[in-house]
Amino acid sequence: MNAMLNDIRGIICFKASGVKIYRFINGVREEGIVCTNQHCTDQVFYGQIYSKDRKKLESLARNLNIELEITEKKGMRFKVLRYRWRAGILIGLTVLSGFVFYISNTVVSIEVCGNSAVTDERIIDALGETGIYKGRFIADINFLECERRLRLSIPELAWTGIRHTGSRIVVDVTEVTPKPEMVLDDVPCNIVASKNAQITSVIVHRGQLIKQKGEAVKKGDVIISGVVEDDKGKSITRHAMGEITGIYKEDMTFTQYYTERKAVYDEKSTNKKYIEFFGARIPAFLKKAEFDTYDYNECTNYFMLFGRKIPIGIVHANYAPFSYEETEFSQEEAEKLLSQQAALYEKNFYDSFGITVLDRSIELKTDSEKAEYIVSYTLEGNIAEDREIFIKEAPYN
Amino acid sequence: MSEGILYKGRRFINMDTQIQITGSREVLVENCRKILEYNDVFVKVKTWDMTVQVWGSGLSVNDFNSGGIYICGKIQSVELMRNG
Repeated sequence: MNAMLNDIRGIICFKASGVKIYRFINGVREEGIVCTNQHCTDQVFYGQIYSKDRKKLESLARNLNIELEITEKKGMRFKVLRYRWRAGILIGLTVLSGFVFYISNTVVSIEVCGNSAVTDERIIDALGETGIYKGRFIADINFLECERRLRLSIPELAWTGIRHTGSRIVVDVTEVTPKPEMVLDDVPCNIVASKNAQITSVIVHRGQLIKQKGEAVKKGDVIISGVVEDDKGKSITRHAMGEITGIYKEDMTFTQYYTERKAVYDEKSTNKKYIEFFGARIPAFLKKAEFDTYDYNECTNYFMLFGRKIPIGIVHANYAPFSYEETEFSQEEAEKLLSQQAALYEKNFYDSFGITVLDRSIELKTDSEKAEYIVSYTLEGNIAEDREIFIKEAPYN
Repeated sequence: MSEGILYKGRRFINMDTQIQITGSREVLVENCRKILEYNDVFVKVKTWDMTVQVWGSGLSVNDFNSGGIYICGKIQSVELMRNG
């Protein structure tokens, strides 16, 4: 503690010699100068004083014709004073102050807490639209308004709270509890055919089977009835349940134009790097990426310090330029593309729903502009559909 | 008679010479008036009523402007002599 105080106050070591050395030594005492580490060797007096007493000491030495020599200056104040005219230090201090001000008052990082179904990226994107993004001046942000707008822009959020600790924005969210799928198995209903079909299999879980396996049904025909008789012969309504599979037909038309406007990507994509520094992006390149149309994607690698991510990193930006070109297709190419369209449709809408394609007949239609595939599918799949039984309410007696 | 009164008076205003010796490394002389002689092996100081001579080696003095001085070093002897 004492050493630290001495460091701040500044210590001056001196050497004094002369005829009236004892008058000088006693003069130091009489002037009230704190003088430590005094020793006298061969009529030369050595000592240490605080820097504030230097003028008094020099004046005393002058009056007594004492030769005074300052041998050493110790302490922080002398080091600081030595560098006071260095422009670099002044500029550095100014830049440092500016930097501290910047990172204290701008959004440097955004943290999202409490979300599970809604991704961080979605919330951060929505925040950007409400006016909270990296580099934004914190004092300009209306947090209440942003909370309200964030809640409105993401319907899955039930509650939002935005706060800031220094330059870090923390977004606390509570998600809406999803409504469970309601199976109304107590509502009286029939099972009807959703398509004109021939029944191939029937599994009845509840209700009375009306149509048998092998029978043909029209769309809307009751297959399993929810109106059943109890042991006493009284008609009661139930929620009919069952699995009905049938064979049915479906037509689909696929079209391919001979001339199409298509995005053609350049073979070479361009990579650029930015240095992300507390929310600000500094380009690490000289020439800007100048493209009219391009796909853009980026990934940011943040630096780590003692196992923690710091808001300094490198952004790897990838630009994939493309241009729109009119592409001409021959008849053969158009047919190939139509086959691809049909295959994709079957995969997406039949295979993934457990519908089996039993047969397909393809009719090709062409004109000067386009080629068309009219595909007649023979399919086997679920044809059951619940239909509620509406009962007139009994008059209340 | 007058010496007794002077002694009591000095004690009353706390101007009596006080010497505190700590081991053989430090001597504190309170109410020091003047340093008469000073070198590595010998320090002679005058107080109100006596002269204190300290002998030793590597002697140095610390003065914290409190009216007393600390004489540090390897102390060999302390001699007291009445003034006048």
